[in-house]
Amino acid sequence: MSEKGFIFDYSRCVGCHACIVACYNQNHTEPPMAWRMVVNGNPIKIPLKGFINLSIACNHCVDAPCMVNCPAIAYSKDEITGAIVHDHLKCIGCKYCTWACPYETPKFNPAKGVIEKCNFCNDLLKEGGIPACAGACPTGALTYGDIEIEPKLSKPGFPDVETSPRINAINDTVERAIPEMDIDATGYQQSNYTEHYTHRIRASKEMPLIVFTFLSAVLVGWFITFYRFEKISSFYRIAFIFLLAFAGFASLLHLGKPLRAYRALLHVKSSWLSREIALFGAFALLSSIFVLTGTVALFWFALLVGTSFLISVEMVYHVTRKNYRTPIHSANTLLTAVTFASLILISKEFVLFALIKLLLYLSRHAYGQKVDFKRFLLSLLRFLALLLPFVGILFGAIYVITPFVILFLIGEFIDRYEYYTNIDTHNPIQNI
Amino acid sequence: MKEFITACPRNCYSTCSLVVQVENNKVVGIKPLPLNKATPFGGCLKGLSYVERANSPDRILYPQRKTNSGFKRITWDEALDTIAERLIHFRDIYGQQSVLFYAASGMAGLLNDFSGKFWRHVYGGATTVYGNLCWPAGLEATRLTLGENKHNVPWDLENAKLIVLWGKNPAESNLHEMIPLHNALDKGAELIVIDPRRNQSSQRASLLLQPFPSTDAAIALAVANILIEKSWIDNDFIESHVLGFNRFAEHVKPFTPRWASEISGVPTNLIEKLAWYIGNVKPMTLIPGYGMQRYTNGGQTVRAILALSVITGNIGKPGACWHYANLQSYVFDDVLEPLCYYPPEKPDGIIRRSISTARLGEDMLATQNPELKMIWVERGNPLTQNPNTGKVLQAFRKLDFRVVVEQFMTDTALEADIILPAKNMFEQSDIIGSYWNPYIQLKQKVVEPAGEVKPETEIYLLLAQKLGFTEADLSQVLLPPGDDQVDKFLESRLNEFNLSLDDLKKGPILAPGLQEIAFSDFRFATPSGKIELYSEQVQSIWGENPLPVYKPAEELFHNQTPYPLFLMSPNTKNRIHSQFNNLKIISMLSGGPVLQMNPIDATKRGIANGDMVEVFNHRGSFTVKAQLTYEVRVGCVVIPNGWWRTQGAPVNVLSEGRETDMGHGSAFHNNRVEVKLVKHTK
Repeated sequence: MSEKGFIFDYSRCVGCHACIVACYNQNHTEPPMAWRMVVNGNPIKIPLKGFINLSIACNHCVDAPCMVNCPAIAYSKDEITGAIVHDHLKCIGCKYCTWACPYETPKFNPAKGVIEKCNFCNDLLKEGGIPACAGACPTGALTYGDIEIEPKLSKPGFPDVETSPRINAINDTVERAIPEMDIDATGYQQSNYTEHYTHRIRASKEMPLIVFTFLSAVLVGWFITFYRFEKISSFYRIAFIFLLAFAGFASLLHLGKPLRAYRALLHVKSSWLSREIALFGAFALLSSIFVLTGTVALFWFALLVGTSFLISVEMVYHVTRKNYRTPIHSANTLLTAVTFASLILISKEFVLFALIKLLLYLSRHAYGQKVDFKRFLLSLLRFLALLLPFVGILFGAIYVITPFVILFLIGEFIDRYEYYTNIDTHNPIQNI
Repeated sequence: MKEFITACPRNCYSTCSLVVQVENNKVVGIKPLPLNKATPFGGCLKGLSYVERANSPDRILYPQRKTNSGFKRITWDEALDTIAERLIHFRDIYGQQSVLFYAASGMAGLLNDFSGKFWRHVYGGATTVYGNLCWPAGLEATRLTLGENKHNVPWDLENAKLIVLWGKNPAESNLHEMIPLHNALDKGAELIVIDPRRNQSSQRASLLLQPFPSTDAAIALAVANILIEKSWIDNDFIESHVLGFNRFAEHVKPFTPRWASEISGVPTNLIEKLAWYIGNVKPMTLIPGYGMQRYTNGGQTVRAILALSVITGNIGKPGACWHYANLQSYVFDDVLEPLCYYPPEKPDGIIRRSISTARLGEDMLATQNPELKMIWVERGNPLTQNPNTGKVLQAFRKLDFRVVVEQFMTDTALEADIILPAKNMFEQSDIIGSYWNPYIQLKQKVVEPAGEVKPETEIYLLLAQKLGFTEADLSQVLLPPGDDQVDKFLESRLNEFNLSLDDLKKGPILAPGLQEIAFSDFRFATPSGKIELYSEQVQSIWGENPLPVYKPAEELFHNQTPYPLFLMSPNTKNRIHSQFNNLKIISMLSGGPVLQMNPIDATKRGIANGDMVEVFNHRGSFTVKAQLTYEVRVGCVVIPNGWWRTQGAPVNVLSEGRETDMGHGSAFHNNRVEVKLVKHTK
């Protein structure tokens, strides 16, 4: 399919950043915000390895993951130019597109609480012009013209994700250009310094999400035990509703524009995030009514919705890059829910679920990298938090459940936190 | 929106043609002008940043006076009255030479001459500076060898089969050279890079040599030795056009690859490989940079390297040239570089006194009879860019009165008693040449000056009137006020070459008399009319060996030095010397200042990436963030020059004011430092 788009020539790009200044002039981006970036491959010039630059902004993908996944329908496609345009007035600042886009194109502006991104200089395109960056590249590395759209590009910096980007990248063979040189002059053999990569998704910055998904798993799990409704004290019933409200509140906290939160429901058709929020709302409503009324039929319906909700929670993360090798994560919300329910019920199923969790946890860490002492202690705590109730229930030695529940919850929270250290976005920096 | 053709007047090889878009007296866009064959795709990040620079809220728009509570806006009358009063005072008490007129390379143009005329003819002579911070050693070395500084047009580089970037990193310092360079490589040319850094331009190189700084001449002499020994030389060319070859051949015999290897740290096999390429791949364009001639052995280093182009006959042919500086577009200058850098010799009735740019601080302090009392600075930022900032600052503070004409609050402006707002490139027309591309260009006035900005030509006129001269007195010396007078003046200069402003408004014009392939007539303006490998003048003018030699650079090779690391302070793509980094967009892209060092050197000192370190020697010190990279050769550290003190890494507090062996250049790269950990960041 021949279309218009960016053409990038690795053999001409010297990383001069003129494209970024051209974008700044045209779109009045406010530093440190920049819609285009120049990614350096081998930035510390490790010898016997080539180095390469990639200037990249939005590729206005035919199958734009930002647009599909945005819960608030803030993205639209210009059918004439193909530009994927973001409307900041519709954006709720959930940053989900920053995870969904494998090119790190949508940029969150903390001052404004919304996303900004390259708009292909759509106004210029409509007037018959070309994007400012491509019009200003002083070496001719970045141009705009006829391209062949392919589902994905197997080129440096491009992810293994099929989005059909509107860009062709050529002459990447320069990546393998290595001069004959004196390795001793670089000291490379005697040192093992490597470039530090900063994860795009960082657990410490995602606390509201961690709390929300942790509580979601716990609440759905707890709700399972409500089938013995008459045994649930009114204190716990009120606590349940309170925690639901707290989870909902936590989910709002990570929005740049909490007042626009309702927009998160607009894209149930294609966004798992929308579905997640909608199902959470439905679960909260149904389970609360059940807790207040005890209508049995409602229980099963609420449980179905709760299960769907947790499935949607898991599906939200399908856009991320998984840095663990187990088929599911030990902090998987569905697994956590059933494990938690069986613990409260002091049921033998707990042994099975806990064993799965333990195995998943251990095998993940078997591949793990070096951990510091603090991390190790947390891991140990998390491990014991599963092992102790596991042993207790296995040998039928549990008489008072509360300490085990508290221990279990602490462990699960640690694991949920770890989950966010085990995922990352697909992005050009990791791929170059 | 209106569009005008203009050109970038910075001290930069590329000298890009630009299209500037103007709306409501405001610069709103910068676009490429494909008519310029050297810069067809437009300006670099700095050229594009003029949109911000022209409209920056940080711009100095009014005269200001320093008070106890900072700078205060004053009127032009007040400013000029004060300055005139001081000028008269100093002249009457101490004589005109107590005033130092300092101008640097901040903005090119023919109108700059009027500044000198004011000081010479109106004020009656002031102390000035001779020499230049940038490139004189190489210019003088080239002039003494080839007779002139010129090279093939930039796009001829495409015809080269071998390109040697010797100490030049055009990807940062001459971005547009990368266009023909890439074209040549696409056509099968080989690229060799010689630089202590594995720089960006070496991306597609076949061979990379990383010598210790200042040792290039040793490599060149050893290569010459191999070339001659293996007969990889052009005997016909040598026969017809070269003076002193036999002496040279005899002279280089002891300079073996092993000898050069021990000095430079480059393995012998790579030196031999370099010789093989130079001897066997033709045509070769050899592109030396300016950094490696900023050493006390800079002129001889350049002569030694140039000898390689000479003995292989790579001069005066398509694809073959010595690509140092191309002054062919400087058609309006009476005296070309580097001769204009010489101290004034013949008094013309007006008392002249000149001090060295390279040793500015030291010379300012040492000057007697009369002592310096006042400085006037324009187009320059000596407190950032001149060697030994500590001394320069001391000298500035010792003065009674300082006037700085500036666009922004630079380190130098901060030291001023009076700041006068300087024009920018869009506020007055002028004509500029380039030392790389062969065009004469018009830098057009496209907006009215912002605030109360006045161009220097008007400042001097008003100041002269304050000194008691009438407009009629001045009409023969200074430029009368008004844009039409500027145009009239420029037109008269152009008419000498049958050109007009209207021609230049349509685009750049190739310099009259341009030789696209420099020296293709094989006429060399040396005393012998030949290329002088052996140059008597090197000895008579500079007291140096008439043959190119390697002399260890001062300070760099003392065995017992407590400062073991070579400090390199190259230019960065983000700035032209100390300009541009104050802009928001450039500051974002350049990040904070860092000291680049090899992981080996860092580990030895317990330094990790991102740590704060102190870089110091006996001249000065400052604290900066360390960045570990294999790009830098073991034993070297790099801090690009041009950071202001207020931006955090004033590299010249570490450098010494010294002159180069030739040309009155500045040897501020003779510089060693030590680095120590201040604080771990993690």
